[in-house]
Amino acid sequence: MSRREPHVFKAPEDGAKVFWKSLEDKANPAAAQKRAESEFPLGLEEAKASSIASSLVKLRKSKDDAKGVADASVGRRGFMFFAGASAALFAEGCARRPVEKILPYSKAPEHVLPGTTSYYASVIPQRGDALGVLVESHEGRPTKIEGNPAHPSSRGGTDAWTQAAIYDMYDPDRGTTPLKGVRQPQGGFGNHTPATWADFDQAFSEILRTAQTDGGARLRILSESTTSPTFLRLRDAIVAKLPKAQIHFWEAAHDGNAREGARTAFGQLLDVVPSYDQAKVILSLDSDFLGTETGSTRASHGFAKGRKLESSKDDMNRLYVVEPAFTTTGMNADHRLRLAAQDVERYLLALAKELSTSHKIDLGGVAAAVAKADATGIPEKWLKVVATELAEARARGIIVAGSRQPARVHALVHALNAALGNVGHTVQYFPAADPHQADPTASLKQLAADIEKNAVNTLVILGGNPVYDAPADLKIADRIKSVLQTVHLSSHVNETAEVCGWYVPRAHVLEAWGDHRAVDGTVSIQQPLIAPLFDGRADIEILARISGDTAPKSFALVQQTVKGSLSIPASITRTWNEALKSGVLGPAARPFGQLEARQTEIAAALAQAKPAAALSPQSLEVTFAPCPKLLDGRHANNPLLLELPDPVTKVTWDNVAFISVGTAKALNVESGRVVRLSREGLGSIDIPVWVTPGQADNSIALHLGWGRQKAGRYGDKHGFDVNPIRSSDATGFAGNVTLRVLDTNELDAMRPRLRKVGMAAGDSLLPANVRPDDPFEADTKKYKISQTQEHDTMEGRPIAIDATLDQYRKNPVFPQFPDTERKDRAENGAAIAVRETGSPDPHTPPLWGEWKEEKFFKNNHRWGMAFDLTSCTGCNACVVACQIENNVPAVGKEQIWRGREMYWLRIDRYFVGLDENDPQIVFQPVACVQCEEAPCENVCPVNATAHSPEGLNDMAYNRCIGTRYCANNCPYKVRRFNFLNYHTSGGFYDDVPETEKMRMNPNVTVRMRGVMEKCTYCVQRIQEAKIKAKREHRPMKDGDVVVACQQACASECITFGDLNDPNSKVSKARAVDRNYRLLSELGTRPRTTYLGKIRNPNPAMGA
Amino acid sequence: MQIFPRSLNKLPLLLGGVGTVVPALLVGAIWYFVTPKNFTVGYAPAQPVPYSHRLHVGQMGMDCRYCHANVEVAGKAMIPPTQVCMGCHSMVKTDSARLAPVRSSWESGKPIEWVQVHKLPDHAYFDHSAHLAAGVGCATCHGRVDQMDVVRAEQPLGMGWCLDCHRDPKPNLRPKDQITNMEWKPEMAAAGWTAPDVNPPQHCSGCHR
Repeated sequence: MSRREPHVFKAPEDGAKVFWKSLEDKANPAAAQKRAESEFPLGLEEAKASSIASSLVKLRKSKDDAKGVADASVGRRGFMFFAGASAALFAEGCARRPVEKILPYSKAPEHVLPGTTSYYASVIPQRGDALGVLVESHEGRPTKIEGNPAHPSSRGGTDAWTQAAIYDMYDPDRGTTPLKGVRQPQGGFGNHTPATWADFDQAFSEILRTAQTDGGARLRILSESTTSPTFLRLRDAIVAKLPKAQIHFWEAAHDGNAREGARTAFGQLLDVVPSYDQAKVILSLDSDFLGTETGSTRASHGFAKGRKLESSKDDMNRLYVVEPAFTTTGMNADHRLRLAAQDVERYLLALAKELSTSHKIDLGGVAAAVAKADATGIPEKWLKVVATELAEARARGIIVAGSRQPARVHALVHALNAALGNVGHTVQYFPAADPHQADPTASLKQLAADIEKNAVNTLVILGGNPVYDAPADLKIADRIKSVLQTVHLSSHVNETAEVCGWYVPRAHVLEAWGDHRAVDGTVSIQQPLIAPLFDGRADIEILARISGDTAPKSFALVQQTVKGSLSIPASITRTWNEALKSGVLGPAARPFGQLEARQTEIAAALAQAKPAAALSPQSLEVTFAPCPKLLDGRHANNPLLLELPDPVTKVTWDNVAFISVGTAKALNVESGRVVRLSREGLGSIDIPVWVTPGQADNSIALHLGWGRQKAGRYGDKHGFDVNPIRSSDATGFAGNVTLRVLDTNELDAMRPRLRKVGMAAGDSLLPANVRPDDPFEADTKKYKISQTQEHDTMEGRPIAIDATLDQYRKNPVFPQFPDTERKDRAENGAAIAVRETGSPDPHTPPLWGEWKEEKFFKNNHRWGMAFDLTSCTGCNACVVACQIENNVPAVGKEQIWRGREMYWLRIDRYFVGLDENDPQIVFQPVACVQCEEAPCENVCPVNATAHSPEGLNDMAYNRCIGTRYCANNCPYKVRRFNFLNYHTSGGFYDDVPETEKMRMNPNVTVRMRGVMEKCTYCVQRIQEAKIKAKREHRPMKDGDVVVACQQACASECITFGDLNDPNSKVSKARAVDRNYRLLSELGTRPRTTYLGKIRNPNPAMGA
Repeated sequence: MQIFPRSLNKLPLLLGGVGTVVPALLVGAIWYFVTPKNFTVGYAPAQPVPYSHRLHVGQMGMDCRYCHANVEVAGKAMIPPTQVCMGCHSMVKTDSARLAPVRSSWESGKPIEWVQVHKLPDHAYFDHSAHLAAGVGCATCHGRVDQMDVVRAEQPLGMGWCLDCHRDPKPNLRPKDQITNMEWKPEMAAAGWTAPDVNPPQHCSGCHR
C-alpha cells in the first residue's frame, strides 16, 4: 500500500482556489502543515507510557526521522496495532465474564432470610406524642417505615415526617465521632478536633465530678420534650442524687400553651386528645390538627372516619376553621374564616359570649369576662351559626385551639368544651406524661436567666438545636457560649455543636433502644433496627451517666424501666417479647371522665390579655408555624422533605412569607420580592414574599426550620431563617412588624447566605453557562422560587370534581354527568367559561375492543385503585412513602425549576371559586392511572412499556431508550424521565455516599439517566404477595397487597385491590355513586378512579 | 474532465456486496458467540474452596435444601453460611487443608467469597420459591449438580430461555416431592400424574420491577 503524502498546503496565489479544513488552517498554512503530519497529536498520549508504544515510536522515528515527525505520534501502524489489540483483548475479555461474588454470612443471625423482608415494631417520638411504627428491614437494613395498626396514634397511618425519617437515619452528614472544642477568646468553643468515645467518657466524668459539688447546683440539662418513661425515670434519679440540678426542656414547636391552658382551666397538667371520629361539628381555632400539630396522624384518621361517605345517605362531619394562613386543615374546611392570629382570641371571646347569651351555655364566672368581647371585623354569621351548631351538637362537637395561641385561649376553649359537654366524648383529657414539662418556652427562659446570673457552669444539651431555633431575645447562643462546660448530643454537627465544648453523635431513633408514651398514655418500646451507623449514643445513655451509671446501655436502661413498671418483675421476658411483637407495651391511660373548669382562674387569665394593636400594612403581624416539611429545622438535611412541595403554595427547596392579595397590593410587593421584616428591638429577617390566596390581611405567615447554615450538604443555605424575629413572649405570633422591600445592595449582601445552585447532590452536572448561579432573577431581582405546580386552575376541565353534600344528595352521580354548573376562578375580572362538573364517557370506542378484556382481564387479577378525595387531607405522606418505597430520587431546586420533578405520585392543588381572597381548595393525588387503553404503550418504539394481563402498565427500564414519546402522550402527565443521573452528582455512582446506597429498596430497580419511570402500582409488592400466595398454595385475598401510598395514608383514602373480586374494598369503592374516571372522555379507561370530593357546608352560612 | 479512473466503476457494487455481507457476518458472529447460550453455558469458575457437589450430594446424598435452605421460602436460594459447613466439618475432616478457608472464615467471621455461577442481571428479579411452588426441579435449570465437582452453568439463563418455559411450563414440571431428586425423569412420574396448571408470568413486570 502506498503511503500517501500528507495534505500539503499551498499558499494562496491571487485568484487560485484554496481548500482549507479550518479557519486556523487558512490563516496559518505552515502550522497546519506541521499539524497534518502528525495524524494523532492527541489521544494516544497515554500510549507513550507503555513499552509497546515506545518501541513503536522508535520504529516510526527510525523510518521518518528525516522528515522530522513529532515524537508523540504513534503513527498509522501504531494505531492499527492498538486498534487490533484492543479488539482482540475486548473479545477475549468478553469471553471471560466479570467475576461476581456471593458473600454469605459466616455465622448467620437467626431469623434473617436473605432476600426477604422482616418487620419490626418500634415507636417514634413526636414532640410530646409518640407514633407506633412497623419498620421494614432487609437483611439488617431498615428501608421503610409504616404505621403500626395496633398503635392508637397511628392505626396504620403515618405522616410525611415519619416516612422520611429513614433518610434522616442514612444522612451522610451525620456526625461520626465525638468532637472536642477549644475555648475561644470570644466565648464558646471552636476548632473542634475529633476524639474518641473513651476520651469523651473520661472528660465527661471529670465534668460531672465538678458539677456534682453542692448538689449539682450549677448543672443544667437541656433536652427536647420527651415522654419517655426511661428518660423521666433517669431524670428523677438525677434529681434525687443532685437535688439542685435542673432539667429544662425546649422545642421550637411545642404544645406548652395547651398544657398551661389546661392547668389554668383544670388545675393540673393535662394532655388534650380530641376524638374527631366522634365529632359532628369541629371548630378549629388556628389549629392545623391535620397537618403540623402534634398527633396529626391520629387526628387525620379520626377526622376522615367522620367524613367517610359510602352513599349519599351517609352523614358527614363539618369543619369550621379560623386561621391566618392556609394550612392543610384549612384546605379541608367546609367553612374557613381568615383572621389574623391575634384576632382569634377576640373571635373566641365573641363566640363564647354568643354561646352564653343566646344558647344559655353556662360559663359561670367566665361569662362576665367574655361579655366585653369585641367582635369588630368578625362576620356575624360566623358567631351566630357556629354557636348554634356547637350548642346543638352537645357532646358531638369540639373546639380545638392551635399550639401557637396563648394559654388563656386554650383555657377558655377547655372551659367551653367542658360546658358543652364534649369532655369524655369528643375530647379526652389525659394526665400529662411529666408534671415538670409544662411550657418549654418558660423552661428555656428560666435556663437563659440562670446562665445570665452565672448560676450555671455545666450545661448538657441532649438533642435539639437551641442556638438555631431558640427565641432571639433569649440570646441563647451567647448564653451557651458563656457557660464553662457545654456538651451537645446531636445527630449533626449543627449550629449548637459548633459552640459547645464537646459534641457527641446521637444514635437515631432507629438505632437505639428507648421507650415512648403516646399522648393517650400508650407506652411502646423503641426497638433499634440497626447498630448505630455512626457510633452514636442515645440520650438516655448520656443521662444515665449523669445519674451515676458508668457504662450504660440503652437496652438495659429500658429493660430496667419496664421491669420496674411490672407487678410481677419476673414476667419481664414475656412482657418484653410481646411488647416488641405488637408494638404496644401498655394500654392507653384512663382519660378523665368529667372535669370541672375553674372559671375564676380562667376569667383571671383572660383579664390579663393586653389589647393587641390594630393591624395595618405598616404594622403587620407575623405568625410562626412549624414547616410542614422541615418541622423546626430538624429535617433540614433531608432531600425528600426539602423537595416536598408545600401543601398550599407548592414551593420546593425554600420557604416563603405568605402574604395576602390585599396586603401585597397595599405594600406594592409581588411574589418573589425579597423584603425585610423587622421587629423593633429584636431584629429583622430577609425573606421573599409569596402572594397566597386565603391569607389573612396584614398577617404574614412564616415557616420555621429554614435558612440553616450548618445542616449538611442538602439543606445548607436553603430558605430563610425566621428565628431572629421570634421572641419568647410571642413564639406563636407577634405584631408590630414592619415590611420593607430590599434594594439591590442589600440583595447582594444576601448572596453568601444563599445557595448558588440548587442541585440536590452537587453542582457539577450542568455546564457553567446554564447554571443559574444567581438566586435572583436578573431583570426583576425577584428571588427564584421553584414550584412544582405553577398553574392553579383546572382550566375549565372536570379534573378534581367536588360538590356539596346537598348537591351530592340531589345528584349522586354528579361526577359522571355534566349536570350542575360551577364557575371556575375568574381571570382579569371576567368569568371564564362555565365548566362542567361531570366527566363524560368517551365518545370513541376502545382501541383494542374487547379482546384484552376477554383474553386477559377477566381471567386474572384485575388490579385497581380508588382515591377518595373526600377523605384525602393533602398531607403528602403518600408522596414521600412512594418515593422511599420505589427509590425515587430528589432532583434539586434547579431541576424542579425546569419541571423535572420525579415524584411518581403528586398532589395537585386547585383553587376554586371567584374570590381570590377566600378561595376553596380542592386537591387530588395523581399517579399513573394504569389505563387499559394506554396512550403511552402504543407509541413506545422499543416496547419498553407493555400492558400486563392483570391491567398494569408495565415499565421495563432496561428496554427504555429515552424517546420520551410516552410521556408526551400521557394525558395525565404522570410519567417521569430521568434527565440526569439523579442518584449521583455526576459520576457513575462512584460518589454516592455508602449510606445512601444502603437505604435503597432492593426490590426495586434504581433507574439511571435516560430511563422513563412512573407509578407501577408497587408491582414489587404485588409480586411479593402473589409469590407468597403461590408458596402457601392458596388464592390471594383482599388485603394481601398493600401498596405504599395506601399504607402510609392516615385517612385511609386509598383503596387498592382486585376488581375481579366483588367483595374487595376497591370494588366496593368503585360501586359508590360518586366514583369517576379522570379525563374519561379521552377513552383511556383508567384503573385508578376517584371518588368525588364532598364538602359539607352549612346552608345557614350562605354561599 | 475525468476525476475518477474507469476501474472505480465496480466500486459501488463491491461496497454494496461487502457492506451487506460483512455486517451480516458480524451480526451473526455476535448473535452466536455473545448470546447466553454460548456465553453462559459452560461457565465453571474456580471457587475459593474446592467444594464438590458430586461428593456431598451425589455420593453422600445430601438434599439441596440442607444447605440452600431458603429456596422454598424466599426469592434467593442462599449460598449456605459457613455455619452450615462447620456443622459437619467441626467434627469431620477437621484438619483438611482444603477446608482451611472454611475454618478461617468461621474463626474470623468474614464470609467465604464464593464466585457466583448462575447470575441474572440486576434488573431481573428471580424468585426461587415461586418456581419450587410450581414444581420446577433443581436440575431443570441447574443441571446435574450432583455430578459436578465444580459447579458449572448448564443452561443459558437468558430471557428467551426463561420465556420458552414460561410459555409452556408443563414439560418442565415434576411432582413436588421430586424437586430435589436430580435423577428424576418424566417417565418416572406416577401413572396419572399430570403437571398442574401453573400460570407463570409472561409480561414484563413478572420479573422486571
